[in-house]
Amino acid sequence: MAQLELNGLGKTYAGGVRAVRDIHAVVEDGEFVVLVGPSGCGKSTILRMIAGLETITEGELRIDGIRVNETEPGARDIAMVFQNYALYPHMSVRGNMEYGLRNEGRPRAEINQRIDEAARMLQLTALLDRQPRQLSGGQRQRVAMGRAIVRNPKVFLFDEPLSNLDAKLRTQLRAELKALHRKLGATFIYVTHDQVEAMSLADRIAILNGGEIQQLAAPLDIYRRPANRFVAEFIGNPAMNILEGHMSDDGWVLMDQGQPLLRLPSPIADRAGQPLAIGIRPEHLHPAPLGEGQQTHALASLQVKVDFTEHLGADCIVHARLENGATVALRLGGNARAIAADSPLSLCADPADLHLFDRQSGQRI
Amino acid sequence: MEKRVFFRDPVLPYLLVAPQIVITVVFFLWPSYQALESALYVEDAFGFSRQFVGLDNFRAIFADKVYLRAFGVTLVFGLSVTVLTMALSLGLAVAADRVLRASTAYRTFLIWPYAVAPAIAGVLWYFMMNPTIGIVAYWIEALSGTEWNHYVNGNQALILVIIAATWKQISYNFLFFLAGLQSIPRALVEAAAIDRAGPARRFWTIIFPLLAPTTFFLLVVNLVYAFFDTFSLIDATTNGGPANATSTLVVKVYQSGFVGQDYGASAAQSVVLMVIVMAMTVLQFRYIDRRVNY
Amino acid sequence: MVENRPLARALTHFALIMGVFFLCFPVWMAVVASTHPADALSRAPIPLWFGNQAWENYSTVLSGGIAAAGGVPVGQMLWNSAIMALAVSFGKIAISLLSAFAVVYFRFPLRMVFFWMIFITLMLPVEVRILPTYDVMVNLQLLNTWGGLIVPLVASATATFLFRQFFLTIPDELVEAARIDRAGPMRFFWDILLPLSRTNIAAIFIILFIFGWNQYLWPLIITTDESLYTVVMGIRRMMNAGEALPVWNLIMATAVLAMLPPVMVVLAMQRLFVKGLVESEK
Repeated sequence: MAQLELNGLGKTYAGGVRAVRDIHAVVEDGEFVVLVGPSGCGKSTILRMIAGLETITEGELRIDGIRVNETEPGARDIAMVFQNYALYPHMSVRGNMEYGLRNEGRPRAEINQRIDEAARMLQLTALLDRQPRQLSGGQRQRVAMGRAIVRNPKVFLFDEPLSNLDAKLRTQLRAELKALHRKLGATFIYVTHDQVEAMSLADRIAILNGGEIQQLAAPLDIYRRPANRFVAEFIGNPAMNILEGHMSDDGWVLMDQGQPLLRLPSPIADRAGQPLAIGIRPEHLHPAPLGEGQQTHALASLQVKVDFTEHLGADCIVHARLENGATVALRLGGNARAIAADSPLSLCADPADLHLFDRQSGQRI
Repeated sequence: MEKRVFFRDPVLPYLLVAPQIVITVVFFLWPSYQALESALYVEDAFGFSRQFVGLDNFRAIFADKVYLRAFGVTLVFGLSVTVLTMALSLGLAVAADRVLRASTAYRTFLIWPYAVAPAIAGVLWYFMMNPTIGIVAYWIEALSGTEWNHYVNGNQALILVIIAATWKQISYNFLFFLAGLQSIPRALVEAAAIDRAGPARRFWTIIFPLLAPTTFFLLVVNLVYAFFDTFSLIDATTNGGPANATSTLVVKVYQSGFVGQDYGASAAQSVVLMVIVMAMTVLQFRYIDRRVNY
Repeated sequence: MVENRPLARALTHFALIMGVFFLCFPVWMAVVASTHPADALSRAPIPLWFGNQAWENYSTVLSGGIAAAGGVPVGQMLWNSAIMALAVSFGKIAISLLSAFAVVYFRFPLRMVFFWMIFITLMLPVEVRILPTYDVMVNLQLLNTWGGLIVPLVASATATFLFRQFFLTIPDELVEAARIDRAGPMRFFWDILLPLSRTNIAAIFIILFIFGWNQYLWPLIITTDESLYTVVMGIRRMMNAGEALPVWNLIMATAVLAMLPPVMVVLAMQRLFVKGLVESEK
C-alpha cells in the first residue's frame, strides 16, 4: 500500500516534443485514480513514467516518500496491466503469473500459494495450465490482472485494460475491477479514454489535455463543477451545451446578439462587459414554462427550433438550433413525446445549473 | 523501424556485438582493405619489398586480353544462367500454381536441388556429358551427329557449366516465383476473367506485372550467383578451361592469386569484383525500399 | 485457375513432369552409376538401371576412398563436413542472435556503425578477397585448423537481419512486462526472446546448415591436411586424380553421399525450409 507523489512531473522527448508538463498530484494510499483525456493528451506517458518504462525528464516521482526517478521498473514495486495484455505467449497461465516472483527468487511454496489465491480470486484456477492463445479476450485480461496481483505491489497501473474487449464484457469486468479494488485496498492508477469507465471506477479523476492536468477531483465534482470549458465539454454525453455571450453591467448575461439570457442572483461586477461562454448540461434545459417560483430567475426566452429527436429508450435527446445558428441538445425523460422537426420551442433552466467560463482563458468563473 | 522500448547498459551491448564485429573486422574488413591497398602496389616475388604504382595494376589487367576475355565469359555465362533459370522456373511455378492440390507434391520434387552444392552439381553434369561415357553426350551424338567433347571445345565446355549452374539454381527461383504467384489475390485473376481476359492475356497483363518485384529480386540474386557462387562448379569441372573458355572473373582472380602468385593483379581484380558486388547489393536494396511502397 | 480445360491440365502436368525429370535425372544417373563395377562405366552407352555393386562401392569409398586420389576415406570427409556445417550454423545463429538483440534492444554509441559494418560483409564474399584473407589466416596460424575452417565463416549479415526483422515484430509490451517482472536484459533474452524465436531459428538453421555443408573455396584454401578434408571439396581431388582416368562409380558414390545430408534436411523440414528461405530474403 502506498502513497504516490508527482512533483512537477514532465516529459520532453529527444526531438523537443513536450508530451507532459508540470504534473502535480498526490495519490493517497488505497485510492483509485483514473487518468482520462483525448488521445495524445499524455495520460499513457504519465502512467509509463510512474512504471519506469519512460524516463522522467522533469520533476520528481515519489513512492511512499522515496524518490524513484532512477529506479528500474522491476524495483519500484509496481505492477502493470497492459492494453493488449502482454502475456508471454510461450508460457502457461501459471508461468505468466509466476515469472515475476521467480525472478525475485521467492520460495516455491510461497509462489504456489500466491498463485492459488489470485487464481481463486479471478476464477482462473481451471485455466492455470492453459496457454494464452487458448484463452478468450476476457480470460486473457484476467490473467494479466492475476499476474499483477500475485506480485502484491504497492501500486497497480492499468493502461486502457478494457479497450480491446466488447461492450458487454467491458461492463462486466468494470464491476469486477471495482470489487477487486475494494478487496485489495491497494492504490490503483488507471488510464482510459472512456469517460464512463472514468466516472464509474474512480475515487478521483484527473482530466488531461495537452500534457497538463485540467482538473483532478471526484467524479461528481468534475461533472457538477468543471474547472474549465475543456473539462465541461469532455465529460458528459451528450456534451454540455456552450453558448457564447457576455455580461452586462447590471448582472444580466447577454447572448451575443444582444438578447438577455438570464439574471444572475449576484452580478459579478468586475466582469461587466466581458465575453463569456455559458454552459448548460442537456438535462438542465427544460421546455418552458417552469413552475412559478423559478420563473423570475429562469432563462429569459431561449427560443429554439427543433432539428431532430433521438429516442434512446430511457432518454430522449432533442437537438435544436438557436436563431444565431448555435446548436443545443436537451435531454428529456424516456416518456417524452417526439417533437416534430422545425417546431419552435422555448427553453429555460435554473440559474444554479449554469456554468460560466471566461471566453478567452476557458476558466470557470 | 525502431523499438520504442529498450534496455540501457554501458557495457553489455558491446559485449553482445563483439563476436560478430571482431570476426567482421579481422576476416572481412581488414583483408578487403589489404586488397584495396595492394592493388596500388607492385610486390617482388619474395614479398620483401613493394613499390607504389598507383593505378598501373588496373591498367595492366584491363590491357590483358585474357582478363578481358574473362569479362566476356562472365557476361555470357551470367546472362545465360539468369535467363534460362528464370524462364524455366517461372514456367514451372506457373504450372505448379495451376495444379493447386498436387502442387505440394511437385514442389517436393522440384526444390531439393537447392541443397546440392554447386560443385556437386558440376560433377553430376560433368559425368552426364562426359565425351566417352556420358549418357547425355551419347544422346547428343546419336540424335544430332554433333561430336560432343567439352575437353577441347570451349563453347561446349561453357554450355556444360551453364546447364549445371542453371540446374542447381532452378529450385531457388521456383520457390520464390511460386510464393509470389500464391500471394496474388485470386480475386484479381477472377476479375480479369470476368473482364474476358483469356489465360495468356491474364498472365501478361495481371500476373506478370504483379510478379515484377519478385522477378527483379531474382534477377539480381541470379546474377550474383552466376558471378560468384559458381566458382566451385567451374573449378571442380572444367577448371576454367579449355583455353580459358570457362574462366569467369572469379576463377581468374583465384588463378592469378593462388596459382600465379601475382599479388598486384589479383588485388586489382578483387577490387573490380568488389565494385561489381557493391553495385548489385545497392541495386537490390534500393529495390527492397521500393517494395515497401508497392 | 479459372477455366477448367482438360487439355490445358494435361499440358500443365506434362510441363511439371518434364521439370521433375530434368532435375532428378542427373541424380538418378549418379545413383545408378554408383551401383556398377568400374568397367561397366568404361564405354557408352552406360547402363540406366541399377547394378549389383552398391555395397562394394559404398563401403570402398566410405572406408578407403580412392587410392589414386590419396585414399582419404569418404566416411571421414563426411564426418568433417558434418562438424563444419553444424559448427558454422550454430555459430552463425548464436552470434547473429546476440548482435541482433544488441542492435534492436539497446541504444548505444556506435550502434549504427556496427550495423553498417555487419551489412557491408554482404558485399565481401570470400571470392573477392581470397588472397588477403589467406594472408590473415597464415599470420594467425589458422591454416589446417578447425578454428580456421569455422570461425571466419561464423559472421552472418543475413541471419542478423532476419533476427532483427523478427525481433522488431515482437510487441514492445512484452519487454515492458518483463522489465516490470524484474527481468534484466539477459534474462529477457533467455526466457522470452529465445523461446519466441524457436521457429525462426529452426528455419534459418536449415539454410545455414546447407551453406556450411556446401562450402568449397574456403576449405580448399585453408586445408592441405587430408584429415580436415570436407566431402564437397574432396570430390574435386578425385576428379583430378593425376593421370589416371576418373573412377566414375566411386566418384558418383561419393557425390551421392555428399548430397544426401543437406537434401535430407531440406526434404524432412520442407515447410520450415520454404518459410525460412522466402522470409530470410525479404
